Amino acid sequence: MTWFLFFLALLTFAFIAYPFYRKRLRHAEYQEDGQLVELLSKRDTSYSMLKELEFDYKSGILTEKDYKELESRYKRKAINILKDMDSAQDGQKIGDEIEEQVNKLRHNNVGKGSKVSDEIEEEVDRLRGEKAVNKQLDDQIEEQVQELREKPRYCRKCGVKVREDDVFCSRCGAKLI
Amino acid sequence: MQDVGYIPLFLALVVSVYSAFTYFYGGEKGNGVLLESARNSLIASCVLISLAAGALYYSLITNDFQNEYVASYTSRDLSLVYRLSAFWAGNDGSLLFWGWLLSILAVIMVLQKRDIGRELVPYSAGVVMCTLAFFLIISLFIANPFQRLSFVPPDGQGLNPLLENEGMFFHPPLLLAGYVGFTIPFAFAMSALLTRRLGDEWLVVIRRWTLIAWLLLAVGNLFGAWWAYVELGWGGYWAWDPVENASFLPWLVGTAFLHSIMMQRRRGILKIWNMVLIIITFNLAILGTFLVRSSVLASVHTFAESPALGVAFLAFIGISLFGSVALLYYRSDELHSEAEMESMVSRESTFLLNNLLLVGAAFSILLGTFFPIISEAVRGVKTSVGPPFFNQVNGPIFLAIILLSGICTLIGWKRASVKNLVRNFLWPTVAAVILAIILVVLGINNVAAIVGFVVCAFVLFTILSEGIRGTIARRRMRPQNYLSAFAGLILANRPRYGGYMVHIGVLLFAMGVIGSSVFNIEAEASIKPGESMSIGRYVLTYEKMDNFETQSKTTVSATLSVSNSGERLGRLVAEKYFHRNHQNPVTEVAIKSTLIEDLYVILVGWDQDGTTAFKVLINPLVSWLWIGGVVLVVGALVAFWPERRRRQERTARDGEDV
Repeated sequence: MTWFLFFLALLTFAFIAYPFYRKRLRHAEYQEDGQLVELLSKRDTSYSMLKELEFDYKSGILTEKDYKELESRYKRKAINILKDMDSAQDGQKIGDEIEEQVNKLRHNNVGKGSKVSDEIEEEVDRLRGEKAVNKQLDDQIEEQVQELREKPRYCRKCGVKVREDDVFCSRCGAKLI
Repeated sequence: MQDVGYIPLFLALVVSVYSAFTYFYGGEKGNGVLLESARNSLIASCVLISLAAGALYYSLITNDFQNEYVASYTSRDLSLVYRLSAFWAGNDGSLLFWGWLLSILAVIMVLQKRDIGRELVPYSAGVVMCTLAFFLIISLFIANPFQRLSFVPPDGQGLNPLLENEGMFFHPPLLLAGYVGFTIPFAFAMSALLTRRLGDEWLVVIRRWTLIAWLLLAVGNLFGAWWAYVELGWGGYWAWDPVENASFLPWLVGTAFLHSIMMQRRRGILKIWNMVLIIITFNLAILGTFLVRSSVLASVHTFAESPALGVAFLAFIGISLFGSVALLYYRSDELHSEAEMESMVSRESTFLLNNLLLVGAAFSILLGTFFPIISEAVRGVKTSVGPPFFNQVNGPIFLAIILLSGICTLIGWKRASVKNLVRNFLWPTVAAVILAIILVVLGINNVAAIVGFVVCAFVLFTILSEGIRGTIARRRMRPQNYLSAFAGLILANRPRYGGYMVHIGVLLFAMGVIGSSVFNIEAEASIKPGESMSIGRYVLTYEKMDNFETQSKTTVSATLSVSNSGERLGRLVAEKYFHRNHQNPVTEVAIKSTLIEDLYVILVGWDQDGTTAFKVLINPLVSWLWIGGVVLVVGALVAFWPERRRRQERTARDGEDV
């Protein structure tokens, strides 16, 4: 019995001390971008709120006016969150890209006067393009909301369920509109 | 077997203290090696406690009567299943059970695959391991289930006969599991405060943990009510006994918490309130364990007195309450709301009001439960408050909670317009008014009961109308029949519709409570064989009395034939058990149950000349308590079931891992 207990204590100690002796560490597992996680969960909350608002509207709990107002408010909120996520994720990358493009343009057009700076401005604007980003984010939200709505697409000819991005029906081969 | 139980338990204490310390220190330093060692020690402590639990089971199975606990709670004639259930029949075993369950939950918590909240795990595991260390200290030094006697008794004292019921397999372990379960949400809350990660993250992580703890507590209490009804033989299912209240309190505050975290998730409000609620819930759960296991308050549940245990528990509650409130205070600046309430008539305000009512009800019950102690301290006289106090105070509060739960679902977020209110409430109100008229026409003249039924019916109609609207809306969105639209509606939004099902369960339960407490009738009669007694439409004819001897007890049984309005319903057998090892006889009631009412017969006593005294009750609508309970459980499981999207993501990621 004593031996058993001694062995048990030894085994416990070995198990606990094992990580100190192992060469490969699982350090990364405990390091995580806190800000990003927080934003992710906020994003999910906005999505579920949007879904719920839509549902409340469809089942008559919200009037159209209230629904529209709340929906746009939560969409704006979601856009801001997505923007923050982008800047948290690869803010650095976009900045670098802009710098690079600017440098390239400068280099190619040395001494060509104001036209160049216009061009640069244009290029920078394009890259920074608030509108474009916004549009993209809007699309992304639409897509997510669409996904949440789970509105499936059907083939008009044979009625089978088809994927969103299918061009032809997988069963009857009819072209999907 | 003493050493095989005691020494692993001691090792587990050392290991869990090390684990708690390493989790906090490793988390602070972000040191992966330390955290991994902490995790291994957490797993090791679970294995060690399981070994100790196994040793206690072995002693119980092998009738090792030199073990004081085994000798106190079992005997040779006890069947195997009851010998196993004796694990939680007494103080020492049930506290070991607490620790064992907690260590298992801790292992699940740290091994769970997580999308988010991983950073919270080290500190929350630290908090859990501190709690576990406390319970291990108790098991080792105050309530040791491995204590040896200096002699070997030939037989044990046996299980308290009241505990020899199927309820014994469910009621204590489920309640304990519910208490234990609230440790995990509390630990994550503390971790969120410590790490300043005070957003939604911890709420996402703990939602399902809270739900399952809440459900276990609910089911534990339901089993307790059912057990009291069929076994204790006084005709009721709830007596506002201190220990019943103790398990009801964390459930009430936990209910408030489950609802108010929705507010924080959706609207970013009530952040401090949520912290307060989970702190209160956890400490009430510990208080519940303490009340069951000490005899501060007189109760049917307390079986042993141990002052040291009480001191230890109060110290632990003091530390955890003080520590968590202080931490909350220091972080309160970071817990400001992201939005404000915009209108008094909005979903938010009804949620908040409901929350306040739930906490208010909990407070009144807490006050009533501890009134004997308070009055003794103030006036020197121990005065108890009885069921009338609890019923009068809580009846209206619970009715208001139920009413609000119905209003809430039909009110939109932020603010509700009059037009919508009229549209949404018209039909449920009309239906409720019609019901009220029907009840009056049927001759029911108890105003409280009519109000109660009408409120319940109104809420039931609101839920049904919401389900119907949802189904119609869904059918409009895609081509399918009503049935699959309804099923799809529930499956697509499990938390919401699971919640509604829980509400329906509560409504059915509430109707059962109103029916059985307002309209119950009772009659007592002393009759001889061949004679009859009547109660309501029932006529009971006493046929005969029998005696049976078994190894452990003498059974006296009285057989009665029953008829309702002249129609024969069959026989009922009411019994009394006289156990060899226990002085007090146990009453086995006879119950004839229908959806409308229960006929409940208690054998009170008998004379030499064959005159036998019966107490007979008619308890209306009691079946609905149990039906409501089942609906509640199903609803909670629907809400608990993981959502499809998350599961798919997880399988996709698992695939990548491979």
